[in-house]
Amino acid sequence: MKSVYINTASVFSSDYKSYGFFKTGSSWDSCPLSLTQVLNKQNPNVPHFLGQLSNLGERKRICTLWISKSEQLNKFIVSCSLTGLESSKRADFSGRIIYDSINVTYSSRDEQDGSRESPDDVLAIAAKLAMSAVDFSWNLDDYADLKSFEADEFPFIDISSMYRGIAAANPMTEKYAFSKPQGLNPVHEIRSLAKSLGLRLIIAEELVDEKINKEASVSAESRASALPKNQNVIEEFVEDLEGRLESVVGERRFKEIRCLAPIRWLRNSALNVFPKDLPKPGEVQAKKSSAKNFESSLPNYVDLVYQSTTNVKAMASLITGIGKIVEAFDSVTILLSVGKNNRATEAAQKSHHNLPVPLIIISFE
Amino acid sequence: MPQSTTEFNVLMLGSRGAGKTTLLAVMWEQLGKAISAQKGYFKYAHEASMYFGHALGELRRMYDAPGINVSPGISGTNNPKNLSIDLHTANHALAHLRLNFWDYPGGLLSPEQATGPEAAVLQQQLANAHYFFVVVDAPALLEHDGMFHAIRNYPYPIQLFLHDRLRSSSHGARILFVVTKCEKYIREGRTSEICDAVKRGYDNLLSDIAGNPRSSADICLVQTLGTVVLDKLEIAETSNGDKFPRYYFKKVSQNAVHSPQNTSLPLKLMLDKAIHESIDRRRASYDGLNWLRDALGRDDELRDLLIHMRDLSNRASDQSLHLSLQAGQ
Ligand SMILES: Nc1nc2c(ncn2[C@@H]2O[C@H](COP(=O)(O)OP(=O)(O)OP(=O)(O)O)[C@@H](O)[C@H]2O)c(=O)[nH]1
Ligand SMILES: [Mg+2]
Repeated sequence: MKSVYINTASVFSSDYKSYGFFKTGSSWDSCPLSLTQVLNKQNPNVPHFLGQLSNLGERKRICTLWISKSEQLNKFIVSCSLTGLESSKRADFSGRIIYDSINVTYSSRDEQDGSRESPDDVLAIAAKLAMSAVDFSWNLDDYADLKSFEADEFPFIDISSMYRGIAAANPMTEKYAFSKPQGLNPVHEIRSLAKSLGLRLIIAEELVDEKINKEASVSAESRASALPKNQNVIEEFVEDLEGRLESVVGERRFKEIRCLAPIRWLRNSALNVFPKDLPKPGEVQAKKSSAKNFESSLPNYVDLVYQSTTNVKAMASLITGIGKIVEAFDSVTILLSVGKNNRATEAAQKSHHNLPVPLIIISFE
Repeated sequence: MPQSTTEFNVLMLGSRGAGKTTLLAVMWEQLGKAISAQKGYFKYAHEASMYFGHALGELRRMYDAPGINVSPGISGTNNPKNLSIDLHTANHALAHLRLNFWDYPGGLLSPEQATGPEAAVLQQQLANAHYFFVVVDAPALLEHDGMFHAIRNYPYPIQLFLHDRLRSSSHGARILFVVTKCEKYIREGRTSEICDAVKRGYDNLLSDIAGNPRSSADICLVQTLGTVVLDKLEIAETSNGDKFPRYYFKKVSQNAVHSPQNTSLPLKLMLDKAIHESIDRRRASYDGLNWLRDALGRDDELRDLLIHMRDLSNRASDQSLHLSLQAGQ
């Protein structure tokens, strides 16, 4: 299943609203469901932070990416939104600039349609959208038909070429190669991917350990019972980490680094509270004996720092690479959020203990 | 006696692009001048100052274009907003009054939005608002013999929205018609023409209001930009042949800057009712004990504030741009 949602307004009669399309065969048909409905249909168990993904009315430029592989649902899902795209050609009847937002969603399996499409183009689009979260010159004007717009119609008349156009803007030139020996765990893979892209990873497990040791007993049982306490520790830690980062690079530099992107990674842990209908943490742990690094109940953070705009390209490769990594594992969920002042970080932190799987957030500040 | 904060809800009704957000932003900027600092002050949450501050910034950006051209400024509102402002008096820690401004996007008033979660929000707001701004687009009312009044100002939908309220509510409804984009017409001395056009254009609503003696109706004319006038209102056409208006504005001079006119008037008309209502509600909740409130001078501060504000307002605003149609009991 592939879908495209666009939020826009017409010149006069239609105010901001979302228009949905899904791919059937080689054509794109309009979809009566809302984006929220589509996402819920794909995975009813998952996350509270989807609000940000489906909030296409947002005016700030924010890219949100949800990549999820569920063994249980036997599904691989990629969904990416970019909001706040300011048109430079379209203004409404009263002269106000039109803002567009876009979402693309892929699911490897859908009840109605037996065909299995490749996620590659969606990942390429996701990478392009993530890059465009910091490239304010990019918008959807290339795909808007101005004549239709002036005649008060929906201007994105050719979804198919728009879809191909955005995907082609960021072709996945290389196939992602797993590290050898392959597949220890997703973190390992993401780490080596980042390394191969020349991106600097700050691994912060030691810092978490240090914090949690101070706050709670080291024994696993007491950690499990100290969930809310640890929750605070995690949040404190994230703040703390930002402070440390600032002290490492200096306040001025810290502000100068336009593309500062910490990746926060929470390891699947016994601290997670599972929704009732999903397997208990213990069961998952038992099943995943191969995933050796998942045994620890400590959350694990990995922070990634970009220091120049050239690395925005590397980020695109990272995103397509992460897609491939997630697809190859059993159960992983990743949330990426790129943009200014976004609430995803906060929302994801609040809700991550309800996630049955790990979570990554990237945010640009 | 415990003091509580009176909630006063203000609903902005008007079509897409009528000027609701613009009006709110410039009124917000006027707050400091509405009362003198010794008498009271306004406090607002971060969200309200962000929203209004951002809108004001965008309005000023309209003047950046070269010559007498106007740049696109403010953007359309995409979902219903609630912005709160508290009114404090000097001697109370707790706010006397909380004004909740409901900025409801005009696009959501269209018939195709008649169902769904936003429609439910509108229903709620129509029932719970204490004050209504009906924002009227002047060019639609006057240009091309008012041919766009119906599709731009929604007089009939707005009448229907308020119908139940005016029929059944013992409190009635306090309605202020604020006519925006008046720069051109005020310069041409056409104020009474505007008032007549409002009376004609909303005659059904006005007769509903007349049927409820508790209700009030006022008209006021504002210039929320002050120095940007309508250049022309072009008749555009959709592919189906439906006509719609396209607005073209220009600055009055190359060096023009944002200078809103008469925007303190709607603010003061609304605040007057809000403070009045706050006193009434306080007294209503004390019932037989109001002699005690009077003896203790509990309401003096607010009464004093009301008199003070009316005085300031009478001096500051151009009364010829205000027409009271029905005072309301
Ligand atoms: N010249 C002039 N322009 C105005 C006035 N009021 C609003 N405008 C312009 O009209 C356009 C629409 O104003 P908004 O405040 O965005 O309208 P709105 O009612 O909030 O519209 P929605 O958010 O779509 O419901 C903006 O470009 C404003 O600058 C006015 O009094 N004078
Ligand atoms: Mg608005």
